[in-house]
Amino acid sequence: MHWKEFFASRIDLMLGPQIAFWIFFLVFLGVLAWVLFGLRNKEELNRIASLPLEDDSQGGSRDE
Amino acid sequence: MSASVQTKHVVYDDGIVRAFTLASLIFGVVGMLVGVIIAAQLSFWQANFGISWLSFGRLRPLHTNAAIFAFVGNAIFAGIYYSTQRLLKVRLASDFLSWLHFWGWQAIIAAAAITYPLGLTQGKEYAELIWPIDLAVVVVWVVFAINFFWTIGKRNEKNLYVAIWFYISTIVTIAVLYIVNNLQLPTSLTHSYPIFAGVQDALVQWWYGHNAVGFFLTTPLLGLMYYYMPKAAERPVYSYRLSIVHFWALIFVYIWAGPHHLLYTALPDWAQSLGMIFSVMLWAPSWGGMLNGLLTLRGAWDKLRTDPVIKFYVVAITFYGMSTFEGPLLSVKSVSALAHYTDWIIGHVHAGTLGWNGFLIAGIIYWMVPRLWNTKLYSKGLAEAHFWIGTLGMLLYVVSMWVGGVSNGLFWRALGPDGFLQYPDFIEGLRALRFLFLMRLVGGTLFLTGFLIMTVNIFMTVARGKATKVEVDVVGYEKTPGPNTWKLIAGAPMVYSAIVIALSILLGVSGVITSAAVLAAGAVVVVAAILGIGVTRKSQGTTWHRFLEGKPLAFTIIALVAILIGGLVEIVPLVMIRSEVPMMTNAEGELVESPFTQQPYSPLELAGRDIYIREGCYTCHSQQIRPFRHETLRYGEYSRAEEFRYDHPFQWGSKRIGPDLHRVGGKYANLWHYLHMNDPRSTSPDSNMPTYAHLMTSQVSTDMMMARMEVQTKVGVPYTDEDIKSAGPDILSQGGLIAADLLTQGVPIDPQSEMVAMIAYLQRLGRGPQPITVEEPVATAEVN
Repeated sequence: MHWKEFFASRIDLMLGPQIAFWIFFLVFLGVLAWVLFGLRNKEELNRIASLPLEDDSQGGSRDE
Repeated sequence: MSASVQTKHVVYDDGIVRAFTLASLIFGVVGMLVGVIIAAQLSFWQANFGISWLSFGRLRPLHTNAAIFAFVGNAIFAGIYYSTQRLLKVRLASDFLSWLHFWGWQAIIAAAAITYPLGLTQGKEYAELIWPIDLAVVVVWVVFAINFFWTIGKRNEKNLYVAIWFYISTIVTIAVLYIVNNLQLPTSLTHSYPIFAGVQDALVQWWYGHNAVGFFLTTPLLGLMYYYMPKAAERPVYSYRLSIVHFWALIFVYIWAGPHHLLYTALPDWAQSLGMIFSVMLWAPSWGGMLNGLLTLRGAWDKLRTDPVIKFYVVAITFYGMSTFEGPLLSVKSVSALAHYTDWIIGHVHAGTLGWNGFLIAGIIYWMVPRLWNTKLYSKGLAEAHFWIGTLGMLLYVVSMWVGGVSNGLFWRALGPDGFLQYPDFIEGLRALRFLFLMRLVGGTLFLTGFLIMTVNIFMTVARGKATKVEVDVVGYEKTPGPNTWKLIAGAPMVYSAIVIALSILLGVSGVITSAAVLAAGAVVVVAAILGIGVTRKSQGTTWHRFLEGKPLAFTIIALVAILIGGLVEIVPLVMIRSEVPMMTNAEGELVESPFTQQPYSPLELAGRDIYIREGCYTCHSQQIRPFRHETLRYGEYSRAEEFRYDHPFQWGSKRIGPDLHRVGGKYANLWHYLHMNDPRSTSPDSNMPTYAHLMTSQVSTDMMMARMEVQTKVGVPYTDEDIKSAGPDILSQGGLIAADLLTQGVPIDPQSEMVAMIAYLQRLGRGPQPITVEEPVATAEVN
């Protein structure tokens, strides 16, 4: 059987959206939980958050 | 410090940043100028000076593409290259690739600027580029990707700051979107047909179109916001935690929202609902990002009074918030019923591009250029003037489009006490918009004026500065041995994820009662995961996200999976569907094909359709009648999916400056169409449509049409060899019928002229096959 016919006849593809929605919803809850409870190292977080402020401070510049 | 940690001397490549910045300014002026010209054409149809390549339908794609890919594109490349080097503390991986990227991109822009006015187009919004240029875009994008990921590989900072995540998602998602939406078969060096047709093409196109906004005009700019806002405010982002949630939620949800461009169309209802639901959900991560950006200014709001850069940022982020509230609102089906096809959508789009993109880029350029040329901004006063003139222009533009859109939508749907259209004359609605079109023109001109002021200010700044070479000594990070991969795979997050996915599948296949149990089990897993993370966080050493941040490839793959889920779930069922032709039961209880099922176009009609696409008629006319009483009264029977199955590409349009054309076939005489295209005012007083008299002087090529029909068979149109062989005689025969009809009314015309082909196509719309020889009976089916 052609693979396209197989998918068209054997699997209810309308289930996909529902399954994907729940994957998103539960993974989102997981990410939220990890961010709220898993990220406790404030020092490290602050260092990463401050990365944009670090640049160009260690060197100089000259005409090109 | 371990022996593996070294101090390294890094010289940033800012030359490439300077080049992209100046290119963005130049193309910003061009793109906005074209926008002003086509806005003028809406008020004064003569503003195309009677030149076909300056007509609205050909210039509108030039305006949108120049604004998106030339102005914003060059700016994001500049911003990404500047910030990436500093966030990763390393020079860009390859100077050669950087400059190949730059010149390749400018060549693509130049090619677009030449081909669009010539009418060389695919006829799909924001994806009009012809196939050879599409290939060039893919090559240049790959060059950009290699350069970017190679730079990540050479980095001297272990952690990838959140801005880099947004850049990664941009690169992978645009690659996927662009390739899928541009799957096409060439018929010549300058023409092709997409492999998808009708409903499928519509879904793929708006999956691309919406996410071009999402992943070209939003995610890279959010990345830039996360870098440049802290720079200007001189303090870190308000909440790094929020930025993580913002990123993952945004990229997962954004990709689903495309079908909201197709509400109440022939797209299956389930896909419309998904588009609407995810669009409303998108509001949350969008506002999370907006608040994170604005709150970065906590304790620094006083800068708003004195620093024009901060002013631009604040207005940009405010417009982002406004647009991302308005977008979900417009995606609600009942709101879309009013707003779709009206200027409200144009107002919404411009609030995003002028306010969010335009002003954020302006702020970035004002901040970056003095540093790139080691000088001070030429004039703060000019920057202030730009800010106020631009803001006033934007407000005029957006408000006029809101008012015009809502009033036009109400005008179209108004029914009298007898239940029939209160305003049956479409032109009457257009007439009522005249003042608002003028306001839009003034608003756009003001915005362009502000931008010109910035351009002068920046070029004066550049003239008095000198390009600088920034050199820094950085400390490379300690290359610690990676975590035990097997331990990570067997660790709690993976186990929880596997359980979650299994439960999700169970939920999908379970019934009403069992799904409650599955949900309860899911809740238990989530609680267990939270507790588990809390307990193990100290002993684990390396968390998954830290691991991912240290492994850009794994990070990229997971981001890719996140964006693929939405696309696959929406598109695959529609492509895999047993047949796109609905079956119905007849009186005998047998399954038969819907009587609306489309039959292939005749060679002359196909030629007319290609001309319709070339002239960009879809920029003003829709071909999709929604199932509302006011639409069926005005335009005829509502449009069905099976009526478009041979439409490569679909031409549903997204705006009605003119009326819908799906069932225009047979509504008017051939002479009416001839007069209308020669001089639209002769049949429709006050119309702002350009004249198409040039169609009289060009001929349809038989050889070209035979080649095109050959390719049509490869994308699924059932032309026979005989159909293709007889294309020449068929064109002459059908054209002869139309020409003979016109001649009886005093109009001599070449039966093989493009004008005749266009009339043949328009007369076919919404109907079955039309007679192509005098021997055939004239009577035709009411519907096809």
